[in-house]
Amino acid sequence: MSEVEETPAAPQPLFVTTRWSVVLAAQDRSSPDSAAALDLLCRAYWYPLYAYVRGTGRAPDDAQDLTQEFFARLLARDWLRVVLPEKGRFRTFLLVAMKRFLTNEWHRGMRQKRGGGQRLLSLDTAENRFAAEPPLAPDELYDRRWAMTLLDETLARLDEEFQHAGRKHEFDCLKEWLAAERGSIPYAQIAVTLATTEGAARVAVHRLRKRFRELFRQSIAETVACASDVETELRYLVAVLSRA
Amino acid sequence: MNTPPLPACPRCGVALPIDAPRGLCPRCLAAMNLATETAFTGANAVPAQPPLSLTELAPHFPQLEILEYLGRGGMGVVYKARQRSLDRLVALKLLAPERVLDTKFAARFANEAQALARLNHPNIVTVYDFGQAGGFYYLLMEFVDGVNLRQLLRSRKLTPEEALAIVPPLCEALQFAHERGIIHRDIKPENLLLDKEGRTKIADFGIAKMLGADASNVGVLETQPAGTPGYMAPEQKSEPEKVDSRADIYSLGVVFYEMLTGELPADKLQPPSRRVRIDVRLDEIVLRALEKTPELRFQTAAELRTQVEAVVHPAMSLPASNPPHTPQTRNRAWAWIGMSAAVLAVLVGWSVLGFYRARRAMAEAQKARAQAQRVAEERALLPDAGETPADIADVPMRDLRAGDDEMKRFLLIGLLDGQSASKEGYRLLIVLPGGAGDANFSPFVRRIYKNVLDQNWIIAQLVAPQWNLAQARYLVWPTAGDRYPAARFTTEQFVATVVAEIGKQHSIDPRCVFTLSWSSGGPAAYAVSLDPATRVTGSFIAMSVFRPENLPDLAAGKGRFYYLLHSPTDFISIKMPETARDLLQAEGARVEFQTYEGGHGWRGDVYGQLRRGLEWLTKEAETGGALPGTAP
Repeated sequence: MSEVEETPAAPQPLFVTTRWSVVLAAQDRSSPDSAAALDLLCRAYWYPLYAYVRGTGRAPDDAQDLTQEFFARLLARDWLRVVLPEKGRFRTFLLVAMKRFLTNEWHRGMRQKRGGGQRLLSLDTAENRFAAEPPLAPDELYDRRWAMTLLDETLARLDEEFQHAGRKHEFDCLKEWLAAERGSIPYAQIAVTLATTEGAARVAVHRLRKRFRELFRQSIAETVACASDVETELRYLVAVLSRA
Repeated sequence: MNTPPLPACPRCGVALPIDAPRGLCPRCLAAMNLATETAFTGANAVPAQPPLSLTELAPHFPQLEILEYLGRGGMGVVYKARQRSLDRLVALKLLAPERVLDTKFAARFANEAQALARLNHPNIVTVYDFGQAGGFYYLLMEFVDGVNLRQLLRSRKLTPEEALAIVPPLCEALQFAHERGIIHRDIKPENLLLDKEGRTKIADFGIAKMLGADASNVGVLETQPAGTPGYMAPEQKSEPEKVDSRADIYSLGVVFYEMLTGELPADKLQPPSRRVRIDVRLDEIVLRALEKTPELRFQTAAELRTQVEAVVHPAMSLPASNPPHTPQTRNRAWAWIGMSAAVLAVLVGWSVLGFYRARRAMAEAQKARAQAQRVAEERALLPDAGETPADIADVPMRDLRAGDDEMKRFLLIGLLDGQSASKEGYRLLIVLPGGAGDANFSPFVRRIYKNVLDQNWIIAQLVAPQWNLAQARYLVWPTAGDRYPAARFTTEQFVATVVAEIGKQHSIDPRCVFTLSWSSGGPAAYAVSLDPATRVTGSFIAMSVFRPENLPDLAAGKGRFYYLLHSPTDFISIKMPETARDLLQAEGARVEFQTYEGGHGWRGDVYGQLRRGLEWLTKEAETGGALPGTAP
């Protein structure tokens, strides 16, 4: 007699080579693939790091410069050579590397160089976003933003898939129900909107949830070094999101 | 920086971040999708089996441009396509991949498809072509741009006039096919299409037979009667080999009954006019189409059509038992028209005053009709309480409307033998169910009565009126502090009407008027308990959000009792009920807080949890003197 039925989540096989593993495997050799993979990862996950730097009390200008410089150094592969036990996960690697970067004395000597090169990231809107962040400790903020970025990424991929299949309208109608309790989904009304049967609406919502889960795991997979880490990382991020 | 307060997630109550992914609450997204696996519920559950993608399909049908996947029916999957040679839209139906290697089936498929392709009638979906490709048998058919009758019935209730307009063309089409020896065998709303011009067309003629029946193999027939339970004629189940055109008339009778009443005919058949206000002459027609013995039904679809048209246009086709084109009928029809003309002349001769009076009366009648239709439409949105499972068959339940308001629906559960079990009166438990707050929770609520309560109690299960999609999405139970704009009344008013209504019929113990609510019912239960006018004395609130900013002054909780139940691993933070406890206690309410394991939902010893909570509330309410602030 439960409103929400639960069965343990079955681990799904993962056959993707993760982007992060490509980066790590190539860390000592110059490879265009790994450079491109790292570039993509950094572009996707820069904001959590910016939020962290701001959270540590640095002024917006400083935080922008520091984040910019950090990524410039990272992409120049300096930091990948640093042996860090946290390398298994991109999330923890980035944070630990950033902490080192911030505390390391040498970065002070780099001040004049900062901002001189090409801008890697668009930091213009970052401060607006940061202004709306909840009052969390910098580390918590970082994790929360990280998890939300993954959700964003997952939804964007899902949207893209539907658009590609010519079913954008279906996604627009169904996406809100991803965050709904099962008992509260009005399948009959969805069926009317989509001009389909109630059964088909149920199936559509079910498939959307399933695909959402798959894509979320895939997004996570791209940030860990081996497939066996996906489950732990998933549980960690879900716990992060469930904190009020 | 002074920022306005952020909107809160309507489900978990936590502030929504400005850049919430696609506007969705991240906590709920995670809780609903990542922590649990979704399982199907309900009879409509269909195994998720993806149809072929458009690109997978394309190589098998070079003559077509496959445009989109339209849906899956019991018979196969349907795609919308463009036939390149003729530049016309077509529907491509793929059938029976499991029969591809069956040569006997191939022969029958070809025979039947040829017969269907010869069936040219404006009210029958035309079959253009058929064959085998890509591991499927396929039919290429006319594409009907519109909806099927099932979709229409789901979106709103039909007026009797609409139902009457739909039936005659269906009869014509059936008559046409029957005269050519083709029986449909699976008439049901899903197979009746309405295009954008309002034309009705029957789809899937003979496909049930093609797939399920096999004249050379009675064994198959006996184990797999073709058709859909609920719409099948009795002989289709018992003697499928003897089915003839009269089975289609029975099925059409079921559809007709459903269009008029919104329900399928029950075993013990009630005339439609008992269920809805319609012309009683329709009773006779519908009941005759639904005769269990084929011999007692209309023998032809044409006969059924004549009878229906007699109700629609009485002047033109009386008497209905005769064929419509005999000279005698014509004469009578002309006589009717003559009489109608005379009546019209009298009308024209009315005084100006009479004319305006008549017009006003008509306008009022129209308004009343519109009102009745709105109510019927809104009622059609409320799901039915469903079948009664055997274990609670002995728990009496009545489906009532409080204050004669169609939207204030509640299910009254308990032994109401006209006299109260104790001299204090009944203890009343008002249940605001969680989830969508609909009637589907009634078996659970009746089990609560059976397993937890005794004859001193009655339960009123309120059914959340959902006015539209937006409300269902955000707010099941609108309250004074958290209104949905389109809501015509608040949950506080709903509860007050129900309590007053029950109070008129039964004596209620004023100390023991409790609410029970969980999940999405919780916020409304807090609000009801803080309504200064409420008669509610205690609230059992489980796994719920607590948002004091949407509630009236918590000081109104003084002297009331709250039993809060929450799981520490619920995606709704346990901080919420903890805050509720602290704030309400500070105002002088008596609060008991309990936890259970397992996260959001009723789990573990559910009835034990309910019993402990309700016992606590009863004891506190009956010995109320223990309350700080209420002691003399």
